[in-house]
Amino acid sequence: MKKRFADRLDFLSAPLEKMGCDWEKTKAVLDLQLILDARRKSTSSKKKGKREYGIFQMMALMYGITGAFTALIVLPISDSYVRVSLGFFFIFLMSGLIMITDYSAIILDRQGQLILQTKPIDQISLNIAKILHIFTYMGFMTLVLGLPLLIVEGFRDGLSGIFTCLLAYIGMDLVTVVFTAFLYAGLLRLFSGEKLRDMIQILQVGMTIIMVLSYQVFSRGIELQDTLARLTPEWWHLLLPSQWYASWMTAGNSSLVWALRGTGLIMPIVLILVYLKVLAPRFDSMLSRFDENKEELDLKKLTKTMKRQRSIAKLVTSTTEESAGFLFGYRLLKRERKVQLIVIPQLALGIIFPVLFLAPMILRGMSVAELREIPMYYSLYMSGFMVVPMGLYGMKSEYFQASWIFNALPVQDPKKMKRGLMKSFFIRYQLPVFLIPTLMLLGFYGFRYFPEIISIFFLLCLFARLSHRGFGTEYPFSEDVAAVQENKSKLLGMMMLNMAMIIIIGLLHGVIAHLLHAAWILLPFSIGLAIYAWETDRFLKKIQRES
Amino acid sequence: MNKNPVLVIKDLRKSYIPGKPVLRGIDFSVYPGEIIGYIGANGAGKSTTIKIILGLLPIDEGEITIFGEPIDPSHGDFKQRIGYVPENGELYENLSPAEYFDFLGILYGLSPETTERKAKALMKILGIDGNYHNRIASFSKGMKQKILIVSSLLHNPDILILDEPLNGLDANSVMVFKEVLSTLAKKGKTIFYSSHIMEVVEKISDRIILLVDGKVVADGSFEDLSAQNQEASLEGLFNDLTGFTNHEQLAEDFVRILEEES
Repeated sequence: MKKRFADRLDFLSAPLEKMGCDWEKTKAVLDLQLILDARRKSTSSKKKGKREYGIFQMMALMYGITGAFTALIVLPISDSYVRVSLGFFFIFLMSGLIMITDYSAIILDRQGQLILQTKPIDQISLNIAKILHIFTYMGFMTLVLGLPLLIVEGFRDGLSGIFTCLLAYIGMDLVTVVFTAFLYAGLLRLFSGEKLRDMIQILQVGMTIIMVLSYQVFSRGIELQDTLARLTPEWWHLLLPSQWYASWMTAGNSSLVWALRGTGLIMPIVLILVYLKVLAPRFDSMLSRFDENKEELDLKKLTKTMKRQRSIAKLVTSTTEESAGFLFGYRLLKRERKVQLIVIPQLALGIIFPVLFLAPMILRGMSVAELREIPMYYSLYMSGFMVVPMGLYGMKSEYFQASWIFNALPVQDPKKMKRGLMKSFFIRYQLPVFLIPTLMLLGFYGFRYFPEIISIFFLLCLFARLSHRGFGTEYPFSEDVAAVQENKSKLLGMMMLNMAMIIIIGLLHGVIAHLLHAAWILLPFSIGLAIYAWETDRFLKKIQRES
Repeated sequence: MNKNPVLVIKDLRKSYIPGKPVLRGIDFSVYPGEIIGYIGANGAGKSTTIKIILGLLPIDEGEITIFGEPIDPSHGDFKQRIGYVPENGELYENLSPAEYFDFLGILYGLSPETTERKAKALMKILGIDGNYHNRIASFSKGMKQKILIVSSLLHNPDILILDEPLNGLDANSVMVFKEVLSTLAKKGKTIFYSSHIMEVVEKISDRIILLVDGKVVADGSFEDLSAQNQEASLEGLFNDLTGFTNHEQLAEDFVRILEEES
């Protein structure tokens, strides 16, 4: 028989069996889970003959690139302690992000557990299979992510650097996984039913935003180098797992340093034991909280909301079918948790991009008056960087198989309904990305660059519409959000294309505004084009052709 | 019958893979007030026929007319008069029934008030009122099926196409729904009922169409068909016509394997 992956973990069998685990059964479950994961579709493409890469490879590539980027950022730092502090912190953030976005589902999985619990296998073995399942991925992804840094450390500090890295990766993974489990356990205690799902959603979206934004801030943090150079171990570092391991690289020998080092060694073991002994046995029964008590609904408020949504639809759509599509999408998007989990962090990124661009100048101590003299408003174009990825993920659904309904209904003109559906996405998620930085810039510059800023706003709206060209001919919400989510390299490619196009539009704008001095002419032109694009399908041959 | 047929299918052919036809020339006409039990083994082409009638799939060869007009997939008009419950009907479960029905209502040309009034009343009869604003995802299988049934009837269609519509319904709701179907038929609506549960098909249909390998092999009332084939039940008739006679032997083998020593 072919050697299974789980067989490679046989060295763990002795301690696990001591805990009451039936190792053969655990291995069988683990193997089944890994097979299932490998067969999840990595792309929604139905084309045959196209090579489909496993999700695994795709994600590995994506994280490998991130890891290389991280290593490049820390490479110039000469002080080993500062270098690993920053490097480990990156990796800690990223592995937390991986845990929350990709593997929370395993912790919170009930379906699989319900099936497995009917078979003669005990809870301990199941729990161990579950945790090994998560660690298999986390371990692999962290290794891919951390390999470039490990190589850098190998060159800089030799063997001790490599060992510190490995120790840090293992320790941080353990802390991340167990800490996440405890967070969920807390929520499971406090809430139930739909409220619980909402709270988990908020937690996941919130954590993702925090991590993505910190990554963005820190990766642009060359300005922080001076501050970082003075970094020494502090008591509050006891709260930061990446510092526990970074402390191995400091020359200091104080009791604090040893406390940090000790915490890094003991804490993961304590956490994993507490998890297995205390939390895991109760966790599965806690999961039934998902099914508990129905939410108390405020019917008056709901009716009012539906009415308000109808008036928004009236405002932004012109035909019945368009408005039907709009209302449908607008309401669906409000509740699609899996879509929100991806799109809301992208939305936050889109809003923060222009600000990040301005931040270094403010940090350099430029005064407001000086800043006002520079036409920094072009940074507004950066809020268009997320348009394509947002659309790519956002117009999908968790329940994509329900899309038969679009074809079973008496729709005269599918194009109109599609336009309504797309408008709903634009208004829910893309408009805020453009609008918030626009208002901020208007506030900053006053009326000085009014035509320029408003032109950019409308050109972005135009771009959002044009980007639908790339989304195929299907109805929105008829493809699986999970399938796209797993295809992270596609996201990367689409982002590159997106950036390139935004830069081209920005350059054209610059030429028109500065060489031709035609800023005021650009304004009506951009407004007209944006409205024209959104009210017709002229620029969207693909969509027009279909049905 | 001297009424005009509501649905005429002539020599309908369809293959997904060239050379491997799923439908190999199907012919039948359907009249108002008929309840048709549309049956066949797995893969016989039932769902394909249904999808073609709804315009979800293009036709390779043949002709379909609904209400005297050939179907035109680019115009959804004819769907106004069709109600459809698909097998494993998936719903956008993140929506509430209120939101889902509102969407259907707009496209069926109902006012929001009418949609809400009708949908709530129908849900009440099926025993799932009080869930109008909850996420469909929180519903049980039977409740979801009831939502599908209400969706298919909300616009009072003239043709009902039902694919395993009783899936997951409780016994009481099944009785109500069967009664609804026969009342609708008496009022001149046409019901196209596809199912694998022969007892139900035998009871409610007044005409049975049996599909084997993409062809109609039997078409007539249960009484006529059972007289022709000397079978007392539709199940027996089905086994006969699909050439399946060795079920007893297979069952014996099955049990014997279970009892083998490990």
